[in-house]
Amino acid sequence: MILDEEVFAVIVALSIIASAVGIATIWRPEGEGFTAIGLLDESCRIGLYPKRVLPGGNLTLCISVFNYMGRPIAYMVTYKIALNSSQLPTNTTPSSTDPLATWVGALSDRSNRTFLVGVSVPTTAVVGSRVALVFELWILESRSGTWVYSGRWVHLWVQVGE
Amino acid sequence: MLWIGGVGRSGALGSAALLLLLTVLVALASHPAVSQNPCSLEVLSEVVRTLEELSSRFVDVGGAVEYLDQLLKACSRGDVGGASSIYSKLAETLGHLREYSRTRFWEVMAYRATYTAALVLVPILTYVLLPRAYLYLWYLARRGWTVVRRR
Repeated sequence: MILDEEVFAVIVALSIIASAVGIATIWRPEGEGFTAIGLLDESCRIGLYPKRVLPGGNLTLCISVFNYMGRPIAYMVTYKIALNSSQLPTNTTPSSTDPLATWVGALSDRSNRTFLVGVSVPTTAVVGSRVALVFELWILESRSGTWVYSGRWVHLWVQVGE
Repeated sequence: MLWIGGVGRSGALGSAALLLLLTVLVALASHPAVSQNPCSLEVLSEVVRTLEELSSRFVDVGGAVEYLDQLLKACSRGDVGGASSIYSKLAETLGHLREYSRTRFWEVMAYRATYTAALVLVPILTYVLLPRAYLYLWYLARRGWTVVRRR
């Protein structure tokens, strides 16, 4: 069988498509970058989160920070207490309450870090009330030289018990 | 500085000492590890900005990011001495990486251009060589054949 013209045309077309895909892959620009923060339990797993906490009592939790910004970042995780939903952060604004603790670090692109944190609820917390333990992710903006809220946060509602 | 023109011997010595002192001060002030607090946001931002630039030029900045991580943690602990030490290592690493970035960028560009040229050649070579290769193999597979006239 001599190579059929139609078969030959299909093979050439496939080689053109493969070539175009290969070239587009190597020259494609970076996608839109993002960061993420995750909250895990004290075993650094999802699931067994504390439900009750004593005023002044210590809790151990695990925080995961992810960097897919297409560049290295310096990050800061702040810990705050929100007494009600209105004090929770949003995608654009951080919680209005003061930070009680911070953790800092740096991450390369396409990397993440998981670390344990020890937090406590202030002794002034009202027994019987529900409070949210809020962890916000801030990024050091190199141009302005300031910490900028990334719009990422996690929170955990706990009951303040006796 | 008008008094430098004084003729007295002690005046000349004094001006030389002052010049030496100024030289030392300028040298110290120009050294970033000494002139600035390594924990200041200005210095940290500068480091991050440099890392971003290097990263955009395809340099692996993993080691430098590790130093920055240690620096941030030292600053967070209030360990300014430790932070200064880490910052010195970081500044040295960034210096090396900056040197490397000059060739690294063009290395990656050359690799990409070569890769692109090879990919562009694939359809052309397929178009030109495939029929010839196919015919060559077709005849090769039949080289033992004898052609006879059909009766």
